[in-house]
Amino acid sequence: MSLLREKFSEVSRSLVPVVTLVLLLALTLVEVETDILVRFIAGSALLLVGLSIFLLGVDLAMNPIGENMATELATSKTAYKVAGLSFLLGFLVTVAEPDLLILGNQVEAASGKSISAMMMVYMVSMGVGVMISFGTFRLLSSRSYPVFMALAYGVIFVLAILVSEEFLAIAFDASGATTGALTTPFVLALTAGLSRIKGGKTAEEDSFGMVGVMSAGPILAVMLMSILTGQEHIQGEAELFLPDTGVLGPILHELPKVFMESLIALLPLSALFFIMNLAKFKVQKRELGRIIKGLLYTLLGLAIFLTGVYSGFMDMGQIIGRGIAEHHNWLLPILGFVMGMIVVLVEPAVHVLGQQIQDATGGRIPVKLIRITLSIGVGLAIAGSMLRIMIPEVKLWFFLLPGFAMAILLSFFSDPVFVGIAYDAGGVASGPMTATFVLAFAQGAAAMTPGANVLVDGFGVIAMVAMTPVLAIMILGAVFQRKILKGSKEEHAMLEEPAVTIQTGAALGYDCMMAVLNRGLSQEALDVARDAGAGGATIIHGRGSGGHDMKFLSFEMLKEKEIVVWLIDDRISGTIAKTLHEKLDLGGEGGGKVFLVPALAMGLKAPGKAAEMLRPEPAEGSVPPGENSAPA
Amino acid sequence: MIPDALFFAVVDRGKAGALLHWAREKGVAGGTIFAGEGTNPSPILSFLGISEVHKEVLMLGVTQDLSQQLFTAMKDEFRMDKRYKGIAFVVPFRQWLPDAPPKGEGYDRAKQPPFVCLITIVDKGKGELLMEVARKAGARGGTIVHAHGAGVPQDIYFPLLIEPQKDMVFIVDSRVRTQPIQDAIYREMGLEEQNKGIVIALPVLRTIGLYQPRSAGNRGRK
Repeated sequence: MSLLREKFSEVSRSLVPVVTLVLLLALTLVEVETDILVRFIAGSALLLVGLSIFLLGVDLAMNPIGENMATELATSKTAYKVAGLSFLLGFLVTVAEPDLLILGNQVEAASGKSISAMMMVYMVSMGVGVMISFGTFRLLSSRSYPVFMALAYGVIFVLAILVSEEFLAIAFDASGATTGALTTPFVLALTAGLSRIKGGKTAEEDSFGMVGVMSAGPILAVMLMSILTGQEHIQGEAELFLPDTGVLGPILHELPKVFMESLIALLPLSALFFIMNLAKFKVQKRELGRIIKGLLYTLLGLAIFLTGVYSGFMDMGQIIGRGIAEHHNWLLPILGFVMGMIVVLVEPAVHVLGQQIQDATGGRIPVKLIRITLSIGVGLAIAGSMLRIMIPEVKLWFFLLPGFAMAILLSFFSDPVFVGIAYDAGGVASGPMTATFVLAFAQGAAAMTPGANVLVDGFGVIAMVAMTPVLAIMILGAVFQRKILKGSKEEHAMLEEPAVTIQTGAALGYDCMMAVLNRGLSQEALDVARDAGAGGATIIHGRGSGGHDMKFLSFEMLKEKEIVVWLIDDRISGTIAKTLHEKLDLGGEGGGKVFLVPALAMGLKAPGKAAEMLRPEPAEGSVPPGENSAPA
Repeated sequence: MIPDALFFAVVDRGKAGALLHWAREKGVAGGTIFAGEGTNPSPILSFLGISEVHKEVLMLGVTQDLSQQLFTAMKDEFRMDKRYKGIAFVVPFRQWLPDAPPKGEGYDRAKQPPFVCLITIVDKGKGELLMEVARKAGARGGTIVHAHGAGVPQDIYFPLLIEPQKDMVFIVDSRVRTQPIQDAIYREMGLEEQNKGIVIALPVLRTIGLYQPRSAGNRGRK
């Protein structure tokens, strides 16, 4: 399956439920004008194409850029450089984010100009830069992630007491706006790069968590700004809702605007990369070509995707929200739940996070399980927001405070990988789909509900979406942790396997020794083997099962494994295998196996010998097509 | 039964889990899965920068008997005799486990295996260049696996062991055909220099899913 087709089918699988639900509503409960309906379908098609291309671009460009930057960070010789570069990265990816400027303008208008839009953009970007800087230090110096996050949210809680509910909502909204379609994939790639270079036992959990760290930045920045400027209340009404008419008109109107926005958003980071490439990285021509192609895909995909979302989904969201609120008020929480559940799966960052979970854990953690949990979390967030719109007495902090408090508490009892994923999930879920479609739906509902304030209630939606997935995945992680603890006990009893020693053959050359070990043991294995006379080795990251079943709901869990490959003189390979087996306790704790495969030839030092050993026999010529078999 | 062969299957990403599950129902004790990338030689796709194909490699320790069964199943249930459905092959090995009676004969090295699996380890990013070299020498496909070497302490601010990133390339073909490929890789990737990488050849007893260019004499070079 080609890469593009893979992305295409992945996106369409997540888009189909959304389209089905909207069409169902449009044909039954809500009256929708034909041109808006047609535009929604056209928008969906644009979304499908755009998001597929965008995800491809992220794979080709964002990942290598993130990795190169991460290498530069991790191999810095001074602390100043680490701090400076990481701050710059965080600042640059955020400052050009179009959503942030839009939010800034809204706040400027609503605060009666006492907070200017540009001040808001710079403050928030600096907040992100500072947090990314702290986060990088935390990661590279291996300090506890749950403690770090607990401290960050502790400060947020204290500040939250000092600011008004409006600013609480705006603060979270700013965090949602910064974790946009571009920033999140880049920060994920940067983290993956850092953890890969750092390696070691914590590489898996180090691959996540930076998005969570980053999203605390804007919250802190906005709250500080509110306290410093003394601005407490904002007033104003949301703009009057007037749906666009026509099908092609709005699409063609959006496209160039969105294209420019995407270009501006992409520019600072790309510029930094190219400058650093000239000065430092000097990546190979082929790789550079691919990064440039990837950046073009990212730009093109993002522009098409956002055009589809803005022109096709915004009006539709408003109309559905209004229609349901007007005639079927009681349906709002239920519909909100369903809508939150399925819409979040179309978020670009959710796909990128899924890919990262797959890569970083070697497929050990089923991406599907994370997606379902994330879905339920966001569903609950939207349902809660609907309740808040319907019942004005229900305040935002009723949800936020206990939610985050519980999440922080659970983070100390959770599987460490899940803690990072959970904090990331908040930023990942609040992307462009939530910020447009779901928000429009909520605003529509608020507009038709007496007593609801469109502006304040609208802002709160993002805050809810930023909290519930964190809690949901944290709960999953805590359950998972208990399962794993139980699972490893059973495993011990089962690993008593029959065994055999095979004599080493004649000393014709080398053995390829492969050891399959539990994650984290490779460094020890390398040391043991080196002491016994082996040379260097190569390590692959994978997942595996060793006769024990570990099930979670209906998902089969495989253990994370490392495969270490050595090339060893076959006169000593047996002894080394034996030493490894004993020193690492492979029958018990180590949970691994050692295989020896005789190498026929190798080009290590003696090309002549290698070539000699592989001389073809004249009789053997062609291979039959299809199944090729030969007597063993 | 004590496993005496390593069964490898290269399939589309996401399918190895099902394969492992299925193999375990057939009595395989356990297996390991890791991610790899295939390459598509189409010039259009490579111009667009999307020639990469996501694959997964499944590694099972099996007995000779079981491997026969697995091959039949690969053909019947996973349709590996069709093109582009993935490949599978078997490498003989000697597993080392403690307290066992010595088994007299090991794998007979002198016997020439019908197929060969070439494993090349080079610095990260060079895997694709290597595939190009291999293709020119007649290779019909290969799988790139991302791997890393042992950590090296360096003079940097954080006390980290930086792990050098590597590409590991698997190429399976008949023994006759792999020889020029191995030579080409050795020469063109500059492996005679130290620390540039190594190429290893492992014996393969049986394969499924490998394809021959339509006309037998033609090596399928472009």
